Amino acid sequence: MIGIPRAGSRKKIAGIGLPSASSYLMVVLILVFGVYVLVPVLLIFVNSFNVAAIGQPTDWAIDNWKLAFSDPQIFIALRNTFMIFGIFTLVSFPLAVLIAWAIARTKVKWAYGLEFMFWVSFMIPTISVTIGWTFLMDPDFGILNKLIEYLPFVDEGPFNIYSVPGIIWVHLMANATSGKVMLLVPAFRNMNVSLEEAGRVSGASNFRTMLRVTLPLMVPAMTVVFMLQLVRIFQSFETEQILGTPIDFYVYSTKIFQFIRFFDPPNYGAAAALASLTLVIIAIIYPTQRWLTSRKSYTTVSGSFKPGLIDLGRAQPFVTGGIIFMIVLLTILPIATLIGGSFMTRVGFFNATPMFTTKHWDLVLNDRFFIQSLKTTIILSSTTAIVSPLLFSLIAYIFVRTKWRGKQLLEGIFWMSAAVPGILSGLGLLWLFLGFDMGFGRFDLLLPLYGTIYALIMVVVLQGKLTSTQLIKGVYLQMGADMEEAARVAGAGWLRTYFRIWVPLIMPTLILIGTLNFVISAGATGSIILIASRETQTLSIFALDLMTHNTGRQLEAAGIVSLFIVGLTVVVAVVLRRFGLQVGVRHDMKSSKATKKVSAPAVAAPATLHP
Amino acid sequence: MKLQRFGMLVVLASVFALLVAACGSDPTPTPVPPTATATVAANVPTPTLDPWVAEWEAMKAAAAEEGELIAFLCCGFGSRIGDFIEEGELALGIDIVNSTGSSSQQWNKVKAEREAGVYTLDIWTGGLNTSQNRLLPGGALADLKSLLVSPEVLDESLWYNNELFWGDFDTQKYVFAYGGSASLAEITYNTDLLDPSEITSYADLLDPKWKGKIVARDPRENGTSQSTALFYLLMGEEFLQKLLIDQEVVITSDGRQAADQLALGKYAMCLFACTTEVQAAREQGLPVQENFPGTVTEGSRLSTGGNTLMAIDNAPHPAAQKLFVNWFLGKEGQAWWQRIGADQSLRTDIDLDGVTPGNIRQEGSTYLLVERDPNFNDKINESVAAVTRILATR
Repeated sequence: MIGIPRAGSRKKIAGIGLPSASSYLMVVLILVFGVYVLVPVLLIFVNSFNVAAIGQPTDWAIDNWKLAFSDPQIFIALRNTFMIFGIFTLVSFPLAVLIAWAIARTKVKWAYGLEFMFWVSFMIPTISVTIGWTFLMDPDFGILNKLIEYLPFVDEGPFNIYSVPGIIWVHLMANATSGKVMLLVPAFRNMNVSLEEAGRVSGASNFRTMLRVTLPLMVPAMTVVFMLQLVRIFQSFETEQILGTPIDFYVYSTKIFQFIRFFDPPNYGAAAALASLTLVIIAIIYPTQRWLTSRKSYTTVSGSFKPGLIDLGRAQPFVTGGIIFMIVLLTILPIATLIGGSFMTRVGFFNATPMFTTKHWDLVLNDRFFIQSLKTTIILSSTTAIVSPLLFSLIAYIFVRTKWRGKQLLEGIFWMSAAVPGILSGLGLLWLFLGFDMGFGRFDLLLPLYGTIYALIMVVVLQGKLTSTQLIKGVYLQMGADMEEAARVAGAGWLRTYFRIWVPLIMPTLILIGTLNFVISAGATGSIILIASRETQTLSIFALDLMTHNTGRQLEAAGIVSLFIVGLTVVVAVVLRRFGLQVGVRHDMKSSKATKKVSAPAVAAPATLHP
Repeated sequence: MKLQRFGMLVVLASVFALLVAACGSDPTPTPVPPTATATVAANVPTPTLDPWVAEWEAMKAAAAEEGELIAFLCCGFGSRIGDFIEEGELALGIDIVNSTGSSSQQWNKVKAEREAGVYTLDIWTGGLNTSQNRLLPGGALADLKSLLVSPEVLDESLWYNNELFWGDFDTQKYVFAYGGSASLAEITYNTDLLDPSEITSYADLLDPKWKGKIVARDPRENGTSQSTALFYLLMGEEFLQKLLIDQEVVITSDGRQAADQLALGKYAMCLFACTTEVQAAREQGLPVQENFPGTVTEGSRLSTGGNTLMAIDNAPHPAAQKLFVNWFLGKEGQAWWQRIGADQSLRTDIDLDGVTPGNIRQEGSTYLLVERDPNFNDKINESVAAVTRILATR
């Protein structure tokens, strides 16, 4: 570990040591993120103890907490949550690891294109995937069931989407698998092939080498991906809401949602009380992932880094075929459903009159707020895609490569941002921007931003902070310090070293973070809906309006808006990837082209590494 | 070299984003279609008294100074809400901006803004329970009665039952109910699976042949609670127990999903506020019907259906607010609202263009006026509590 020398140096006045520049920087970061992250969370939890009716003076009591945990079904819902999470994680994690390994570590055909298709899958809204599979697997009318019933020996179709396996299947088909593949591939690309070659020289097969050499070195990345999923265990509810309610199957998140839907006015206090369980998860996750990632070195990219790919021989076409099959299920099918459905009078109904129509496109394209929403989305998401990789890579650098005091506190603050679900965090952010009474005065520092697009930019840029910093942190853990040290010995300053060494080395991850944050900000609803106005509404809020339309859910029109969001993200992702491949270091050069070992001075000038 | 390109790209992209942001913060008013202007000229309220003409023009001029109205137009506006807003803009000469979000989100926003001394909303339309549970106790409403100056609005003979229906029963000045649709029976159905003559009383729903054939929107949710309360008040808790438990009613939280399954023939009936979604499905040619053709012995009710008007106090655009309420509750405003939606206005001097047949009040019929019971809101809460108890046993 090294620090930033100039920032870390301390001056003395009259023999008294002054805080270093790094101390000042940490204080600023902790204050800024502390206020931004902790204040909304604290406001939500503090207000959960206020049981006063609207218009009445504050009345502190624990009634909301008693109400929240007195429902006997809560514990059944909690059990259901862990069961669903456990099963789809048991299936999706090994599957995603295998796919990521095949794409990043083997000479599979069209690796970058295949990887990109998993990104596209990740961009498709969960609700579209859920509804699409409902029409395929409804026990009575599902198209797949109907097709199977044509077989002579089958009386009844085997699928029932309204079941626990149905819910798990939709999770796997939504982003439980694609999200993990997307996040793991860049880490797998950072594998030093000489370590794998050593395994094979020792007589191990490709599969055994993967298990014994590659995967242990990928522990930081896999831990991060698992923890990020675990911390949001109480936040996903769309699939369970649609498929679980008809069979009286509830999970914890649907119970949280019920306190908002079943009470008038909504009981945010009881919802916050239930959400507090996430704090327990964070209390377990944070130290665990710190322990897992710090107990040994996971360096794979150092001055002696040797890029290269594994040849799977005759198995290669089967692996490629398997991945393509997954892409058809995860990407092609839902996209085709979205496009086809957008031209149907009512998606899934072949007896509607007329069966096909362009009126949903008319509704969207002729809406007076569509262009405005598109423009706002482009501004917000583009800004996020540019700012967030740079900002969060610097913060992740502090987490991994400095010994600055307070970095654990800062990382803990980032984890705390997952403490409340989106539906509540939006309320917390509204209170933060409008100001709140601190007892001795009012905090209204951010009030001037309220109602402007700058408030939205701030929210969406910072929305992906936890995922972004943890992913980049995982990659930094794979990087050896020797290259940075070589550059510094060669006289480069910290900034120059950062941009000439680190940025090219972690470029694939930065591109991923840029695209991921573009998707997150383009799809943001709960966090921004309360601070957006008609003039600053985004496409996702526009789609939400269509989903809660006065004349009923305009699913087809909302699907069209989703297609626009996916299309925008694809364009951005293509541009960023093209740019990233030019500027960054490719760690996947085929063995034949990359036989020479990369020396430290060469890495200090990354341009020489290009294939 | 590549680093330079990267830096250049970042700078260019940032400048582009800031430029677009600067442009984005300046909303451009929607151009007025020339053909529509002619319509408006013909539709300008025809005042009967000269002082009113002068007052109307003065109100328009004052509103034009403010330039816009920020409204939260919830509920009874149909898919053509854009047409309504456009017509309102043409008639009033101001921009009408419909605030986004659900009723709950809007209330959170208004409440937090007021605590910070920020006022961004002029008008709110929505359900009676929203005003009873949030806006009235939150002290967010202005005296609407004092804003009403249009003779054709104040003339009680032009309204149903020759009276103005104020939803704030004690004060009679904040919440104006303008919607009054007939609701013959709270049942929507699949036309292939149910002959409406089979149901003459809600008690018929307990016939074993309907076991497992009824889908319902979650009766505990805000949007369905009025319908739940009606069943509870008319039929009692025991009936609901038999209906929800013995008849194995399938509950879904999504009205569209319920309508889909009804249209697919998976269920014969849909209960608890399925009308909107079923109407959409019927209009798309599917074999469902939201207008129950007969009546049930328990009686039909008259429902405001979420169509009440409220003026927010400390409005940012007070002149535009006053202009809007007088236009909207007038003959022209109500005719437009009725034309783009499905509900019937409580005004009696406009034609029925646009009203769904099942919503039309029948001459001489007597309706259950449950919402006019000042304790109806408490009864809603009571009924939701009863249903919650019942469903906990499933």
